[in-house]
Amino acid sequence: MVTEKNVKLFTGCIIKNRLPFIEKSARVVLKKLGINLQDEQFSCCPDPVGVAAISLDAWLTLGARNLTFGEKDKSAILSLSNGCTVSLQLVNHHLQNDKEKLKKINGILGKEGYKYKKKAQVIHFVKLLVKDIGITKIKGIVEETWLNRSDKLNPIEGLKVASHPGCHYNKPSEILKWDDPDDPKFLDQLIQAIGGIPVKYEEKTLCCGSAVYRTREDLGIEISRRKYQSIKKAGAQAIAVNCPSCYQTLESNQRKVNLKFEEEYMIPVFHITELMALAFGHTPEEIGLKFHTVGKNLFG
Amino acid sequence: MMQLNLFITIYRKVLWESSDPNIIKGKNIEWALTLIKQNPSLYPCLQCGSCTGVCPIAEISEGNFNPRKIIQNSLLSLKDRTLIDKMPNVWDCTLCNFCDEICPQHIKLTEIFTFLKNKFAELKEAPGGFLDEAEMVYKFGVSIPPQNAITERRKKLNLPSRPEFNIQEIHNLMKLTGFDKLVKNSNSKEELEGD
Repeated sequence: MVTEKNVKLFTGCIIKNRLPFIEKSARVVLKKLGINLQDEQFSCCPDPVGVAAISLDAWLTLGARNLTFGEKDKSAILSLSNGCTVSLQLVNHHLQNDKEKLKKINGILGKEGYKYKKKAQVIHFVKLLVKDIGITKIKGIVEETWLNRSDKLNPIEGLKVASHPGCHYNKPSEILKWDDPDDPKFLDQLIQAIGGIPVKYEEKTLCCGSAVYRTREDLGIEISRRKYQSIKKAGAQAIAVNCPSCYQTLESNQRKVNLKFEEEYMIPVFHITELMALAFGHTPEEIGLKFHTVGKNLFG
Repeated sequence: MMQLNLFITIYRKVLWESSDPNIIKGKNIEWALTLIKQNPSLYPCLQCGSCTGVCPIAEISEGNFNPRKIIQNSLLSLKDRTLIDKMPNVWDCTLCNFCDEICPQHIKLTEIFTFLKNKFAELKEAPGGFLDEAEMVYKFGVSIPPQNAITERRKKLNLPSRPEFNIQEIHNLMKLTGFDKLVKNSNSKEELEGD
């Protein structure tokens, strides 16, 4: 069980240096759930889209260096991002199964005193919440929070939320082996556990388009637009994601779609830990909701 | 298994070479062999087109982007069509991995595309946006460098300050992989720090 290990928090670059409010909600939620987080000298995971595309060796090397921090003192690396999870897990997969690659990368790491011994464990935070902590416990905390409060109600109660688990949450499935790639359920279960209503919508498994947007803005905007159309049609009041890259893309592309197509999408996007923090009784001010750019006042 | 591979080889030889007028007989197959050696999952492609069927970019680009064709170009050793003509352009892939999921032959398309992109980078032909980000990772060890405004915001949110890594360590490791040479000569006119 991951909860018995020392849990090292891997936020990734986007959360740390651009969206720190997601780190805030993640920390308060995990603390409430009894997880003791530790910090390490993690570098970029590195970016499975950007860095791997330029050099696989550089990707494996930086990834392996990060993994070595997860090897010491029986720890597990807990990632708040799809991208970082897939990057670290794929690097781990390559080094676990390819002796030559491991030798080559350790040859490089050795020059700076690192050595990867294939012992690291990487876990996506949704998996920790659903599998290790459990929906029942999360539901229990939410109920307990609002049981004796007469001044306020659970702000997530009855909220219609469209979940966007994202691509690197569970693909490539033969390596990540978590949740159904065609019909992912666990993010919906979390939404339900905190009082929300997960809505069904056609384009649930469609990519947010963040990778293609880098070279083809037109295609990136079109992909996001299809998501917004489908989500709006399903009547969702908010979008929940479990990745900061998806958060960024789905939040900021609305304005671009609105300008290009003269449509009006104003659907607030939340990292699931933000919704959980609210359901656990934290205020919007405390978790920095004011730093959102779309629908920041949904909860007052 | 052997019989299936033999069947695929004959099938391919008969069907493809006779149907595509651009195939020059007796051409250099070194490129195809390089790719197959790098990623053996490439070999048993039946050109069924399932990958293109599920690809969101293929749909949105109305067939302009086509993963099946990228694999076809690879197996037919058409190096220039991929690296120079970019027909299709492997950089249009959004990395959603649905092609990998659906492929009945378990071909690791996304991995193969990543290797193709490395080849672009070696030729100094990677797109600017990617090179700029790679430069950030080399310079700062992170894809998004820290900014004062965000550091202030972290304090306002009562977040702990995070342990910093030694950037020289990152530079040294990256130099050993040759990463520094791949990100130099990008649009940045200044010399990279730490050299």
